[in-house]
Amino acid sequence: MDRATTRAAWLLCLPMLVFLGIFFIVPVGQMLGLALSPKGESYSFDQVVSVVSDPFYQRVAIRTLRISLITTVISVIIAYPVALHLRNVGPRWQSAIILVMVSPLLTSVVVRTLAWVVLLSQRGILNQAFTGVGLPPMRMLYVEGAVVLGLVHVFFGYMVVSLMTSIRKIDENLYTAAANLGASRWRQHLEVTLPLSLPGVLTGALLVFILSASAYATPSLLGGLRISMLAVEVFNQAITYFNWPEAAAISIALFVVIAAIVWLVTRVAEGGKRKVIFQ
Amino acid sequence: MIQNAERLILGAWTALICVFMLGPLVVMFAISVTASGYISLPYEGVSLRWYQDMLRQTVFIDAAINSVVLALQATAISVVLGTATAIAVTRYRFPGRGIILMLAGAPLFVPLVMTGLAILIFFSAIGIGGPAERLLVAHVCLTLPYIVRMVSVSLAGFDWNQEAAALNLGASRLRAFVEVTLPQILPGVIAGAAFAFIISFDDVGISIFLTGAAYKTLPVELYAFAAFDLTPMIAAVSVAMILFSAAFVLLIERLFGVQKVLAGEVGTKTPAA
Repeated sequence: MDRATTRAAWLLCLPMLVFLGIFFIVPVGQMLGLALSPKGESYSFDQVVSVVSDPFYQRVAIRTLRISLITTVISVIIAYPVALHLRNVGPRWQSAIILVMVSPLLTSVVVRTLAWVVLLSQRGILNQAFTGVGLPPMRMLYVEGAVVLGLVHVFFGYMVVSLMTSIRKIDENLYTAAANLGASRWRQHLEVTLPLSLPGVLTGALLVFILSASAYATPSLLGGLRISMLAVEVFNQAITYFNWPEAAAISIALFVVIAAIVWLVTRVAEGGKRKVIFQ
Repeated sequence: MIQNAERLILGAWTALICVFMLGPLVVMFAISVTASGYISLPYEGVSLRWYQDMLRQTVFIDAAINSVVLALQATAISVVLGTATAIAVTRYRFPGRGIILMLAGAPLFVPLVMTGLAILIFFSAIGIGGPAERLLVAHVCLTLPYIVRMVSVSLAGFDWNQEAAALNLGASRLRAFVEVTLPQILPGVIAGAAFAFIISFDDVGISIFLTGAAYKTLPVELYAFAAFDLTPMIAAVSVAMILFSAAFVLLIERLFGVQKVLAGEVGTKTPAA
């Protein structure tokens, strides 16, 4: 590669690099600095340690991971049959179904979450229906289930798209071959569909997990003050209490936890793939 | 036989999930036309009073204008910066290309609240710029990764010899780009821009940190209002936002197909070109 093209390429990228350098990298670095040195004095991990060792934040962190994990598992389970069904239908139905699944992604998270708020709230649509038939009103908002329900709904489209892309690629001949070898339909899915769809499952699961773990609007509207998650605490500390160093420390902890889990899962998945290849 | 049973079960399940996906939004629409004074289905008749109420709320009108202006500005900047980068990384293999790609995608890997907080801290430290400026900067960071990715994908099949041919025929670099390259990559750029616009218009995770008392975006205003008071007007604003997004969805669907855009499959060979 000659120097002229290298220079041309870097020149094309330069505006973006300068922009992200000034307005993204520097701010994130500055936030890191604030967490490590709240008063602008010597650097220490005191702020981060005090957040990480705080039982309150530990509870919030565990809740964040639990809610995100449950959301991910439910999403995989309910999206899988939909992705399978997409193989069975013609192109017209296919695009119609995909449109229904993904277009909600293009409306604001606030709008989609509010739809659940008006359904689940104390005097909401569902409770009106319950009292209408003589049942006592139920507490459906500000519980973990509400947050999970909202998150599943909000990020569902990503799961369907990820599953669909890998399931759609599976060669129809593999099923014919499996059937010729005497495999039942159930066994065909277990031995053909499942292993070949694992990359899609992994992509979708990671995406939904990351998005859920760092979600702000949905847990805050559906979980209220009781069911707080880490991103909500970042906002509370930063905006409500104006404690930026602590907010910075929480958000760094959130980022590190998510990054560690993603790294671990992809490592395990790659290891698994290698094993399969070498078998 | 078994295959038919499978089709039936999967079809029924898919129908159920479609109801799950769209049901809440349909309920939202029903609430927005209620004649009652509180959140309810239109048992007591249908009326547009909550839409009238919405249009009388200057805070929502102002916020809507802020959101559109912000999304337009952010998209414009993102498209220019992102397209230049996408051209460089698809056309050339050069030292540092990997780092540039990583950096271009970096805002996607950081939780939104972290980016929001970081930019808030940054602007407070430099002491210049109000909510409008810091929101614009944040939304460019937010949308850049999508533009770079979508334009790169649409450039993947482009034959750069065409541009070389134009240059040989005496066209200037600019003219070769405008008359040869641009028309062919335009579908990808437009899809990316439309997508970036929606991402910016809908965002709440970053924006919630950066709006001010006198300058809010529409999703943030709606969020703040709903956290404080639940009236059917919330539904009216929501429906307005859904319809606005739907217009964009239809545009993207017409041009490329939504699933292709979301799966990053927009290519130069799309018929819309």
